[in-house]
Amino acid sequence: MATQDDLMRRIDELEKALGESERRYQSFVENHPYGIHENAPDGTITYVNQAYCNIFEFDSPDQVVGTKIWDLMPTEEAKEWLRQHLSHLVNDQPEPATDVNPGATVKGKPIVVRIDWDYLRDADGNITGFINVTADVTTQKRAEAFLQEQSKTLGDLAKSEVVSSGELKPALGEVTEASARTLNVQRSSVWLYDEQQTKITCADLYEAGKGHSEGIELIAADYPGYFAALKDKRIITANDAHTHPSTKEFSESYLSPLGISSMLDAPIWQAGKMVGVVCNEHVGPARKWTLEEQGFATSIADFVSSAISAQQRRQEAAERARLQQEVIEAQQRTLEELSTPVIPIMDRILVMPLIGSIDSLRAKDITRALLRGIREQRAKVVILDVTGVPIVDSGVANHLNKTIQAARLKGARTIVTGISDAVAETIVDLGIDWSAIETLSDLQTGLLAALDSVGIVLARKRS
Amino acid sequence: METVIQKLEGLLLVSVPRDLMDDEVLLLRRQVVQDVRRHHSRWVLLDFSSVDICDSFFGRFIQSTAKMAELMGARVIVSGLQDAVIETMIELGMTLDNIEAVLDLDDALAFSRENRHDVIVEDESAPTPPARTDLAALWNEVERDAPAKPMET
Repeated sequence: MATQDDLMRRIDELEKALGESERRYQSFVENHPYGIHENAPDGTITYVNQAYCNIFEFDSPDQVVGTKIWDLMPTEEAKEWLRQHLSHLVNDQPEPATDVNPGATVKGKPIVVRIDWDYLRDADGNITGFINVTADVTTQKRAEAFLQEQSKTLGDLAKSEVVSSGELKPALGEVTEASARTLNVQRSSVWLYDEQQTKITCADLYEAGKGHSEGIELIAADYPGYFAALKDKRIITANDAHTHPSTKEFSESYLSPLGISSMLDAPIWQAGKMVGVVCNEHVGPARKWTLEEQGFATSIADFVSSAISAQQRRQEAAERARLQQEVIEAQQRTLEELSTPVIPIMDRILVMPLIGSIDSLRAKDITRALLRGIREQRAKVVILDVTGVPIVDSGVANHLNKTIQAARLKGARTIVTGISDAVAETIVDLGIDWSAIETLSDLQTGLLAALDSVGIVLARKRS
Repeated sequence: METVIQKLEGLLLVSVPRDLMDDEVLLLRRQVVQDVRRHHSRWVLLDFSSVDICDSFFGRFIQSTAKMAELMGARVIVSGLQDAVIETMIELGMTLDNIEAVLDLDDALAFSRENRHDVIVEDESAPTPPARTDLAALWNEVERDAPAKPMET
């Protein structure tokens, strides 16, 4: 049977073990990276650990204990809501859950926190308070929000008809605007190399609240460090542009006047060649570019590259179409010349053999060719030979009349030859009046008549 | 209006300027007939080489000038009609049937020399000046075209 001493020793041992356990938990809670706090059912904070103070920027736990949990809420409505919520928890006792809430530290810095909480109960199961575990998820939430914004922007650009239209100017405008908005920078611009790679010219600069401009030039030789970095880096991440080795050259001449502190520049590559750069310039306190932002900037450079490709494709297509049109026009001219040949056979005498059917379009071509022939050859007489015209009806006769009148106004007399017996028959049967027009049966007699009218006499050599 | 009418042998050379306004056309026509009278010209050469547009008023100008010249014993030759102008004239049906047309000034001069009427021995093949018929009708037409004020004599 155990003596009282035994019992006392046993109690001592237990108390010691309990003390150790408590110290272990105490140490665990104090050093836990998550913020931990307890509060009474009336909202009074009864305990906080150091991590909680760090998250909410309190100097020590003493500052917090005794305050109410809603004291950090930004507005009266929010405070009232938390009071209501707490009484709802106390009265209705729903299942413990995880809340993610935007908020602010005691110094006013906006943060996003995730809170896991549970009830504290006494031996009878009555609620004596709450224990809350708080994690600062601001960075994570920002990265998530940026990724969402970024994927939306990239998706919009990928779907944009402007970017793929081949019209470079509006495409660049859309890209710089999207880049400035998504990265939340004041200035976003696209610069393109000239052919010799001696300088870059600003093809589009978007300034938040100011709009678009263009035209500034930078000579490569003036900024060797920057241009060398463009050639062998996927991206230039200058958190402090004034001291970054690739961008410090701009410090005096460019960055300081414009108040630029941080730069995120992605070279534009196309067909294995660097053709330009997308510059994102942050104005204000220097900022640290995240990996996500760097990835986004390179994607933007790729979009510019594809916009340039689209422009080149469009130019090539236009060039091809132009060449094709030229070939077609040349062929048409050849065809016209072939179908309306004007042959100068002797001084101031032209022969125009007409072959095939004559419609109003062709009659115009014939008239035009004949007028040109008269002008160029200074012709006085034109022989229109209709031997090759299968049908001479009133339409054809009408067209030929107009051609003959036009030739007359140009100062040339027209003789129509090649009137076969069949054609003569048709002309008379149709009642076409060609009495005013000089007509002959064949080209030979036509030529003699023409020679006669310009005063040339043919004579046979005496043998 | 700049001087566009010159006398050359028996020829009255009229260089018709481009872009003539309607009232300038009437003025030009009046000057032409005045000069025909002054120089006793036998031929009036209307040179159109600087004219590159044409309308129906333009055709009426040629026709009426020709008729007036005929009344005064002269004949009208047109020269230098551009290809495009001729195409339009044909479209508009302005064929100038009774008017001689030649290619350019060289041909016009050659033509007028071949067809002189003021030489003593006349070439039989030369066309004779048209008879002065229906004077009243011609005069009426002149009045209609130039109603502004009576022609100076």
